[in-house]
Amino acid sequence: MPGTRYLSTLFELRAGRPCPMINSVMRRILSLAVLASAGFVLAIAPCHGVELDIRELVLENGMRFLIVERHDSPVVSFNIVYLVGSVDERPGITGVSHFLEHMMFKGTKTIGTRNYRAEKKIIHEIRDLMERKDETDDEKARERLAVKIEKVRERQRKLIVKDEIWKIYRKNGAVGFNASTGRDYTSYTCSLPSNRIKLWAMLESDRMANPVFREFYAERDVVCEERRMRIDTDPRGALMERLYASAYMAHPYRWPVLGWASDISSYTPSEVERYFRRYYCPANAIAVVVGDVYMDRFSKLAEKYFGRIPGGSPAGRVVTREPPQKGGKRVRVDFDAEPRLTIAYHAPSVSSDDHYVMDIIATILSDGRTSRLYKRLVLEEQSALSAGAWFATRKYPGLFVFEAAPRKPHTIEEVRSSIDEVIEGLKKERTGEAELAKAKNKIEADFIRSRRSNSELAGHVAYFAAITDWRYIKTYIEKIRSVTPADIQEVAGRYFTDEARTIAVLGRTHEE
Amino acid sequence: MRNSAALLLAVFILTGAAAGALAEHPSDLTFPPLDFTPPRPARTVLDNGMVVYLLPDREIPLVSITALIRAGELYVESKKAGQASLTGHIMRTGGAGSMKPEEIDEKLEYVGAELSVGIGYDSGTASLSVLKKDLDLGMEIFSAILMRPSFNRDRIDLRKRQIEEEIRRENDVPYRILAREFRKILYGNHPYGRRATGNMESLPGLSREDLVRFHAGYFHPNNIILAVSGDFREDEMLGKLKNAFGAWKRAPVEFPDPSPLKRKYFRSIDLVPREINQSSIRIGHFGITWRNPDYFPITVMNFILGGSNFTSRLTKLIRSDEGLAYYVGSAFIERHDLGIFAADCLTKSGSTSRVVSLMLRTIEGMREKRVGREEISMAKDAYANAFVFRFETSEMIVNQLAEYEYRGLPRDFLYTYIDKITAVTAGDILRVAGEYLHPEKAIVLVVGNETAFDEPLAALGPVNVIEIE
Repeated sequence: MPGTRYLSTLFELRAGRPCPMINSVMRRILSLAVLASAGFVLAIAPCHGVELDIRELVLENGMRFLIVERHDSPVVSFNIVYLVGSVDERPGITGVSHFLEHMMFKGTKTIGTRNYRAEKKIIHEIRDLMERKDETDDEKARERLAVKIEKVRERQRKLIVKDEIWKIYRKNGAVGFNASTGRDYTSYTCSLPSNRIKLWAMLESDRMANPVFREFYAERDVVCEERRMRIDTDPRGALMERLYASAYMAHPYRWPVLGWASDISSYTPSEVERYFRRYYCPANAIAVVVGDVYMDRFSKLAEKYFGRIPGGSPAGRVVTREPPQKGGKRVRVDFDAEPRLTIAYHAPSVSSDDHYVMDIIATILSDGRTSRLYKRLVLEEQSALSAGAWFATRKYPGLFVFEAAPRKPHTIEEVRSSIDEVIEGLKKERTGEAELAKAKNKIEADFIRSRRSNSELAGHVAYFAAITDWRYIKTYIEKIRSVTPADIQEVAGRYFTDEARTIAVLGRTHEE
Repeated sequence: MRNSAALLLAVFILTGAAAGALAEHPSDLTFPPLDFTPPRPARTVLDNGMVVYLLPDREIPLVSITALIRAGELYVESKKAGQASLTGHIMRTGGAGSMKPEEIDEKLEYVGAELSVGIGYDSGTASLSVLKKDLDLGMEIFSAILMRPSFNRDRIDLRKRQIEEEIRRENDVPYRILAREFRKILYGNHPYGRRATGNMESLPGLSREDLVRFHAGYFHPNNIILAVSGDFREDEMLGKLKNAFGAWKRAPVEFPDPSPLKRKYFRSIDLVPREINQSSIRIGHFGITWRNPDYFPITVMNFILGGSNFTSRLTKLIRSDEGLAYYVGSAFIERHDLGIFAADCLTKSGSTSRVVSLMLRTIEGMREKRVGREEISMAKDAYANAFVFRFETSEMIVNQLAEYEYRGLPRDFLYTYIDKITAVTAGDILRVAGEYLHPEKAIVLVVGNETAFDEPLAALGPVNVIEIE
């Protein structure tokens, strides 16, 4: 799932950000998959209609569309994914996938400008001045350049139609217009009344073909602010960053989706342009469309607007593989906050069948008040305010993560050793049939539940299409159903080892 | 660097060649009218006074039930702070009827059902989501929890300890400090000024008897609105509801309303010192109640000021143009009594003072002159064209109707919404901006590291420093 978004609303923040039980979210994403298997009827609800028909359209230039027709309400949800994320970056430009996602909202040659020809000259003038400013250490010179830049920007403001893509979408009733970037892929979302499908095709094809990265430097600053909010001043964000950076030695999952602060403030337009041209092409994009849409009419629209863009080539696979971790690691983050604990184990990627077992294990350990971690740490020992585990299926081998917040006066060490015992329990004892059945039932109920909204469904189809082949979802539930108690024991034994473990703790220096 | 600029130019020409610019401007598109009639769910009142909204939807084999209960921290005296919230929590976790706490969780989780209960400042909510095939089991537990919760003592003790830990962790994230301190400054001793789940002083004194009493005071059928949607036949569902709740007797309910809040505006500059690299800023004051007659012009006004992201003035200026924030916006949070108007922003320490003055000036701008024709038509079109999304799922529809009835709004509130938005004029907006926005008498609260600010806050007036921990 993408990690960071273009926009978060006032209310999301106001609701506070308690240590979330991510597992149930991830599980829902995974479980949803099943409903997409065409003609597949769930045994759990044999009454009627949970089958879902996904249809695929592939243009000559390689762009793929996955379409689900649902005509009960006159609305449509869209989700375009580009198969590029922070995993495709390299040191020096970390976070550029996310920054590019921000720049995609800045308009095109048609959108966001009164006169692109005139504005183009100004954009280059600003870039030239900015690069001179970035390169000099002379404070006086920097100030002089800043004044000059501001004067040129004043001329640019007269030519810009501020955030016009946003304006057009909202005026036409769009909801959920946003984007998010993750380690494996980047996704652009929007829902519209179904009489406005053409508008989406126009706007999205235009920004795929003709984006203009205006206001580049202001947006760099915006992303620096986003980093301060999500990582620098947020204990959970800070701890997660350190956990990933420690658990991985070689693989690019090690850096944060947002990028390192010094990289963010050094992005250049030419670097971002290059990145855009490599990855934002039809052959590297998949659009998911769910709702009141008709395949035949939509195909013509897709061909007309997206078909004219040269195809490019799909992104290649990342070469670097994480070498086996030979020995446990332990790191700490000094932070002015109450203590937190995370434990990560290297886990399978989507291409190994072991990940189905990991989904079941995460559910058994962490989903609900009857889950093992909740029962032991929160209910019985009462040593933790919260204790959970989550596993996100990724394109490349990811992490299986445990998170806990000790309850005073209980210590990180107490909580850690209880989690260890829970893990040992998975390895030593066979999971009971009833507990396993409960986990499977939950997964199945959740996927039915998450089918209610078009946008949620579109997001989940996009997720699978992005990390593997979308047809994966046809067999997902069978694979989940076939997991046995012996599988759980074997997989837990193989992955949850001391050598493959990274422990990261956060707290004040005097508390340990 | 000259070279790199030249290179860029070349790049632009290349992408330009990829696909021509759009032949027509998307703003000039016209669309066929949308074929849509908003569904109108049935409203029934059971003999015992329980109001029921029903909307069958056979597409997915699921049933959702949400109960709104008129109760809340608003009706709790200050020494019992947290009583309402704790009651809701223990109703869900403390067993019900003859079922033990863990038995309820086991039964629900085995069939993948979800059940939650929560009581906030102004209302209580209980909701159930269950597969159609498990509906009877779900309803049995749901009704037992509403009518016969057993308030297990161990679960009460556990929850109280957890809340204490939550309080300890509240200072971990600057934005939570901001929300809490703002509430205290604005509301003082009023229930809205307290932590909704109680505080270190009140928690030890909350007993099982307090919860039993709170439940007995407010959980009566005539004090509940039910919203039911999903895979069922209307008559069949009504039968099931009568079965579950029919024997529940009507009873009088008293609401010990605290003295109503007085709308007053006062300048207060407050600083919570924290050694962090980004300031959390909130500028605000009293807002409006649920039933404010100016709801529609205020809604449109706030859309233009800071409620609609990139089509609002605050975001355009502070984020998009100046790059001073990732997060900026404004909102009116309505409540039973006076709610909050707040404009929020997170910016690096070094631009704190600049952002505060930009925010104040932007709010002031709403009061100075009429909004432009383009701004107002933008807002109205956004509401009108997105209206259909309020009816996207059956659950959303019944929940909105129940909520509006709970708030005491007219029965047709949802169905006349767009007409009322459309009727708002630039004159109305100027009037409500003058009446409901008071930047010169607003609370300005900052959580941050003042030594790194561009200018001290004292430039605005005397600063109260709030030390925490």
